[in-house]
Amino acid sequence: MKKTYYNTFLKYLDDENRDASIDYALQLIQEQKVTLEEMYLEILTPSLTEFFCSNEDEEICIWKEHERTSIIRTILESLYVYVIHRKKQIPSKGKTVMVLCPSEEYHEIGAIIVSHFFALSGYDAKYIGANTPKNDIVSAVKALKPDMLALSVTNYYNIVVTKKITEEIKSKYPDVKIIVGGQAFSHKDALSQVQYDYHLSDLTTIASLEGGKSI
Amino acid sequence: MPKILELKKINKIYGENTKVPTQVLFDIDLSFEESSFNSIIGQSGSGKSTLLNILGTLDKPSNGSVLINQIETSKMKKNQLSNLRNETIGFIFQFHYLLPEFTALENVLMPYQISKRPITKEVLARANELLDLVGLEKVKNNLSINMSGGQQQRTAIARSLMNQPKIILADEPTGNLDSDTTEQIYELLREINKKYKTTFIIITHDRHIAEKADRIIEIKDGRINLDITK
Repeated sequence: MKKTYYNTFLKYLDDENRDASIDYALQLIQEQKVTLEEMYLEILTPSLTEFFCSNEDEEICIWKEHERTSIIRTILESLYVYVIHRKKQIPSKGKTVMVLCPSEEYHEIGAIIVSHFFALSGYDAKYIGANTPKNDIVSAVKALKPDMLALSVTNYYNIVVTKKITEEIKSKYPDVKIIVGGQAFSHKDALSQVQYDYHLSDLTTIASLEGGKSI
Repeated sequence: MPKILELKKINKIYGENTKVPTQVLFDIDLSFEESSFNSIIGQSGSGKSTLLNILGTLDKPSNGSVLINQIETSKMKKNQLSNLRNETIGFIFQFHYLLPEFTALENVLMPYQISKRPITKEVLARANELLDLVGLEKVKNNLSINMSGGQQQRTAIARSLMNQPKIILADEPTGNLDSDTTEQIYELLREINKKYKTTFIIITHDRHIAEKADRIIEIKDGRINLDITK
């Protein structure tokens, strides 16, 4: 059944029909046909990761992907009211997590979804944003004193700056647990370059994280 | 994939016999696979240009060994090494170092002329083909001083390919160019990499070049700080 919802949603996206895509996704939630988690994991995430562009012109594929991402972003922002509603129904874990992308990293959809998942699991999730410079991350950690810092990285070149960020955070704030995730870490040796406590490859494991350690 | 270039325990100390020796490279172990496209990044003074010069046998390490095509180079005589270098490695620098009183075509032929072999029809055809490849078919008979910065760098790229090298070492090849020309030069280097299976090792400050390489190596304070492969 969920597959049918996904295929219908994909059809609207393929047609680049923004209004219908957003309307349909929100309707699925309103009518409780899918849960928020199912919406993130089975509909929104695959619609981006499984995006296939049949056009031979790479530039056309790029703007098509960007338009699709923009539609998904609008859906995610709209879903946050449902996240607030769910948060009121679950006990707080009393832990704060700061979610962001490092400088020059503009692919933020994964980070937004991760921040929603943390919120749905009882964490106080603070989403800082895409393209966050190293010094701003360090000052945010100093000010917010989070229990965990989650870094989402897509472009493999950004491992360079992620290494610098994780080294500085670990030297200045060793108690802050660092969570890393994103496509960049699928590249050979990428994980071994950075200092981290947990590599997030499956969003459903967020619920079982405690203070950055897998339990 | 076989290793085409290998550095083993490379150290480089400048002024070894002076009161203030300066070590710029520390125990570098590094190897490059044939046909790969690699970028080296790092701050100014990190040791990356020294590393590239050692890779290209333009400079000798204080100790450690450099293997080109599995051949150990440290015990080679100067002329043997020059021959190996001229036949195996092409160089591209930030400044093109073209000879101003020669045309683009004559500059491209220069690495071949150094070997003192006669310029045959085939050799001339190859130089012309390379100039066509880098998009300079219309200006190949212009003196190099009468060309734009981008055209001069394209000529330098064609020149680096003249002896059909297996390896191209490039030190900031687009450091002197605007962003559009940088993109074009990068596309050209990638095309050469695909067409001739040439191994590329490029020092760059430009993230747009580095992020498109198959491998990124960061040098920091004379050591490998980061090494990731796509």
